[in-house]
Amino acid sequence: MGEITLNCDEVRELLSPYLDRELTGEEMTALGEHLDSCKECAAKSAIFGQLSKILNHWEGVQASNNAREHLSEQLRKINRETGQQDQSRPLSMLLLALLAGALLLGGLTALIVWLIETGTSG
Amino acid sequence: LAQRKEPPKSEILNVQTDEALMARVAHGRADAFEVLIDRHFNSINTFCYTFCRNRDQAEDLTQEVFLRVYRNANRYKPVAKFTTWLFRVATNLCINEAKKAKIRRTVSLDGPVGNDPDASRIVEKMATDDPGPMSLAERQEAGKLIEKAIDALPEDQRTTLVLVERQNLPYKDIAEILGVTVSAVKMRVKRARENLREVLKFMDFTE
Repeated sequence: MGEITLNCDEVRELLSPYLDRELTGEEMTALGEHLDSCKECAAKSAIFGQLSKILNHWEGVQASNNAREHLSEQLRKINRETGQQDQSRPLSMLLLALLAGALLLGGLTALIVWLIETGTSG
Repeated sequence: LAQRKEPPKSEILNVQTDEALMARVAHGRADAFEVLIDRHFNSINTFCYTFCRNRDQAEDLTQEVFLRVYRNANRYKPVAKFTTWLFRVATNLCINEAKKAKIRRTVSLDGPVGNDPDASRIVEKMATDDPGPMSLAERQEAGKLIEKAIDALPEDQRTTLVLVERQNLPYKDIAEILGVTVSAVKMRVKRARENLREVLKFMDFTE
């Protein structure tokens, strides 16, 4: 079956990766079996678990609003320098191009009609 | 005819993956990058802080990380997870800055916070399954305590632990970010936890 059995030293090496879900299925089973029968290792495992709970309360180091705003400002500067397009511009440019195309087409059609009418009446 | 209301652009971007947003950034969509900044600014700031332990410097480094990523957006290959790439950029920048400023230093594990009865009470509360609601003052105090405890770890353990605990990244990704082996990550996390336990001294109430 290839089952593994672990001693206390081996178990203590695996407690941290166990907490981080980095163990194989086989290792998990062996670890669980050991923890069920060894009070000392179970206590150590509980301590690591509590440590994680404590760290879950940490919201990280909050950056100031100024830092976030300053970054956006710098990005806008880069965009101006490199001629990067704003997100709304491609769509508005496309609509403008379509409108110009439609006007041009309408004008050409009117010109052709006028020319035909002038030609037939002449 | 019933008019179909389209969601605003910002909402469309907000539900996209980091990798999809980066593809847009590579095509010149600056608004997609703002979404990425909103998602990861504080994580990168926290990570930079664990390197330099100075809030102002961490904010400067964080801004520089995002500027570098933005300037090199077209070099990003979606085969790698965006966060792996982002943290890799942050790591390189922090290491270089640390070398320049010689700010890297090892701090001994002194001054356990467990000596303070108020601190012990908060640590004990946090370690329980259901700590109940914590007041703003308690949350702030808890944050300070954890920061202090993490600050006391050696740099390699601090940075690795933050990537494991705050970012929940797998060891493989962390190894790639920090440029070390998976075994080294495993060892650092284990030592960090053991040292942190020493610093917090919270073992006293678990027995």
